[in-house]
Amino acid sequence: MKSSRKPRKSKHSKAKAKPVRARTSALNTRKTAKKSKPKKVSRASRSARPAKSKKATKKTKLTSPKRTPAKLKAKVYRKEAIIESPAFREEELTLQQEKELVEASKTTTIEQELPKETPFNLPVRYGDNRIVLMARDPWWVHTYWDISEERINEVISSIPVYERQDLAWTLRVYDVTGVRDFNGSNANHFFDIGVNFEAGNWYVNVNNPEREWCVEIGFKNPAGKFFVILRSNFIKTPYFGISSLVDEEWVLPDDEYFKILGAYDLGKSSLERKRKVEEFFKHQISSAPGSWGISSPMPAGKKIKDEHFLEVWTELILYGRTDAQAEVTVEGKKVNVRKDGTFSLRYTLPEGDFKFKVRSTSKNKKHRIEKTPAVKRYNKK
Amino acid sequence: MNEKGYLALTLHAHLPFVRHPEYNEFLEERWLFEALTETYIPLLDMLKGLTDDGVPFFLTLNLSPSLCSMLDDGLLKERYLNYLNRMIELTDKEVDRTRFDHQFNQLALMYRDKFLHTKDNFLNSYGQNIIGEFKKYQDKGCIEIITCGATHGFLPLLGINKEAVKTQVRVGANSYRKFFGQDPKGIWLPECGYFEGLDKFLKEEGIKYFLLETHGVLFGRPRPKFGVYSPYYTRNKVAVFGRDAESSKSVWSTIEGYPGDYNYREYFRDIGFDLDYDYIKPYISPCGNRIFTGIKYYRITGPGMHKEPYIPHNAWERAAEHAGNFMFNREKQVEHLHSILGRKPILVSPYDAELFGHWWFEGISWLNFLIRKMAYDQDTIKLTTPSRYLKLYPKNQVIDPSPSSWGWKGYYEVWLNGSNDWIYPHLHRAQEKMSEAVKKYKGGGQTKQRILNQMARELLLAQSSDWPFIMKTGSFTEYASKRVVSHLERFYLLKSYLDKDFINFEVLEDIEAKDNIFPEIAHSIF
Repeated sequence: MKSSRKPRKSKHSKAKAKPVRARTSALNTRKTAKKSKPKKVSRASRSARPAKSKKATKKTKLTSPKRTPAKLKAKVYRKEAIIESPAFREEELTLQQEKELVEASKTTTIEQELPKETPFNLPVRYGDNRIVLMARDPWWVHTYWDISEERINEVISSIPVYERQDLAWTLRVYDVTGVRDFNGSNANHFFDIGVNFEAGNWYVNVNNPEREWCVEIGFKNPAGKFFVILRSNFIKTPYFGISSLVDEEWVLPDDEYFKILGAYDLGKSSLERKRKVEEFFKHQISSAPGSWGISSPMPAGKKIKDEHFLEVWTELILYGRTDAQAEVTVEGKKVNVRKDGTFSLRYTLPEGDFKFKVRSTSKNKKHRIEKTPAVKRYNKK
Repeated sequence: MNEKGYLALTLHAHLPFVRHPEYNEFLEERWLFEALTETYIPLLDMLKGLTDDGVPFFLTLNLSPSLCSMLDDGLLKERYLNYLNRMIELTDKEVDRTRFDHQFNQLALMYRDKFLHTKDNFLNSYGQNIIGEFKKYQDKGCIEIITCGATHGFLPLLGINKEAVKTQVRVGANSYRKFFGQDPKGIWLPECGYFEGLDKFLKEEGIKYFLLETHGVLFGRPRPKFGVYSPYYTRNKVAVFGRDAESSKSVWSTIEGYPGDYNYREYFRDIGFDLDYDYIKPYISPCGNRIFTGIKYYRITGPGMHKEPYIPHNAWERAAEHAGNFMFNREKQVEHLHSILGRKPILVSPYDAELFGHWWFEGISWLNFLIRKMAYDQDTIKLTTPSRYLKLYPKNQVIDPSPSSWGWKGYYEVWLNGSNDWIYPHLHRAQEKMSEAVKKYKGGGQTKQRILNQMARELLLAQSSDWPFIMKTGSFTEYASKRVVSHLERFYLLKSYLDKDFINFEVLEDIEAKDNIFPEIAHSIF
């Protein structure tokens, strides 16, 4: 389905040369991580660096990030590279288990994305000191960062030496709903997530619709002190649920209201009702048809099943030769004769008896020849 | 005025800008050719039939600016004719090949007639001017054409840079003005993507209304009194309509919906995959991969692999039945809502235009039946457009619509997930560079402006939501990545010409010739 033109060879494809080893080490860290507290799971599991030791995954070293080939190897998510490896299957399981674990523990992160390498010629990082926050849905936000070595070194050198030990890359997520002139200390509340700096981006489960958020990336030392490097923009998570806020000029009684939404049996207590309505909408939204798009040849639910099958069709090729200027008909219909007098026809051949009366007539109409091959096509019992 | 409510059928026609003069033939250009043959031209046929017969009707149609740019492009028109000629050649062969198999022969004849008729329409009836043809029906007052974001950029995720949103909306509106000779009344927000504050940018372009997914309105604050059965105003006094989920489902759903009926044509059985390789090879992908040709001989038949030949007449009758069923359900719905709301509700039913004809082969017949039945078989519900309804009910509640989209899971995840999130750092940064460059060089003479114009085109093309969408769905992903990156590469190359004050005119001309979208762009960015 792809066009034949291949893009220039990307760094990406070079990087996939030795994926298995890198993934396996990530796998190991994941296994270790599972035993520890959930919050640490996400951090350890994301270590892009093929871990030299468990220790290395836990603490981020203070050296400025440099992208070494080893790190690039770690980011290999291409199936074709790892599909043959038993480690891949094992990893799938682990990913699945980890997702369950993390979901159950309701911590802040699950999705694994190691540093992104774009194909072709765009730089992976620009080093222009930014951290950007975007909402993904009412419960999740996404942030990416791009920070220069200079900025990192600047922050590190500002940290008193005795506090510089074992600094860990940390994302501090602030709920700044209703806060004006946020100054880093007047948020409603905040929480921290350990992140892998090299990942360059993170999905954070804030689990709270219609609130305003801001994140800071920085270092945290074992004593819990946070040193900010950059602060993001402010965003608000999208709304979820029917508003309880009612405009007095535009009111419809609750009973009537839920009827127009197509939700009838909602129970009596307002709490029960609220819960049912939310379930109703969660279902409705997640099953929304969405866009098919002409460019997506497999709309959801239409995938053809991978079942064994056999289809056999038959065609008949009828071909021959006459003098170059003769006219040829098959069953009365004129057919094309090539300049050299040959002709060739192909017909579907369903079950049944068929005859093909071929007649050629010379240019001066004086000579006429007829031949009638016949075939019987049937399926042998 | 006996009607108890209204139905606003809305078709959203969009394709990403795909045009590759650097190749003789380009597989992805077929998206346009197929949509023209299977959807846009059949729609025009339907509109002509309806107006010839004097059927009263109203439809809302969004033709996206990137689609319009392609419909208006000389090279693509020429290539479309080549495509039609080749399909006519193939169907000719098919008519011969199936000569001794009556059922298939009838179908081969149907396809040949369809291609011949399409070519005749395109060349002779429309003079290759598809946009002008749609405009005619808008000028007659039976369809309302609305605009879209310039390159269908997903605005909530571009919204980090307000300039990006502003440019998408403005270029979209200006493109509309160019093609349709008037201001756009409404806008189809790409993927119905909304974020808080977007209405301000629509207001600035004089846009009167937009459409959202059901929960975009229902989750609005404060509670929207009439659910999705009425428009509302945003704080900036732009009207917003929400999609009616019930009527959408019966058409959209592949399982419960009409398109899954066993009599309808099966999309996934195509001679491009079924026929002998050597025979079909000249008509498939230039690199020899089998692809859908659009010639399909089977009906859905049932859930299994076994398929029976397609019988057009039976399918046509089912389309009529389904149209009747849809109308009946809407009548009941409107009666029910009317009794509760105490005013005439509006049901807004938006669909991807390409669903009709391309995916759902009988979809255009269904639409045709529906419009005719609604005009003559009942008085309960009438067709309308959002603008007409606003004239009827100009006073409406003010709400803040909920940020949302009509994509899977209802928010932004389709366009922001592990498969495609890598594009945003690049897109956001490039937008910042664009704004800086405009500030710095806009007074710098013609050549500099020319470079800025082309930079704006490249950026817009990179912003198209189709690329992350394709990355998510998993087919053509390589092409989608390549598009994002190559537009940004061109963008930075052009920017370097400005910064270094050294211009390679050959390269500039080459880029301009390739990405020739929005020739009028200068009016939108300065």
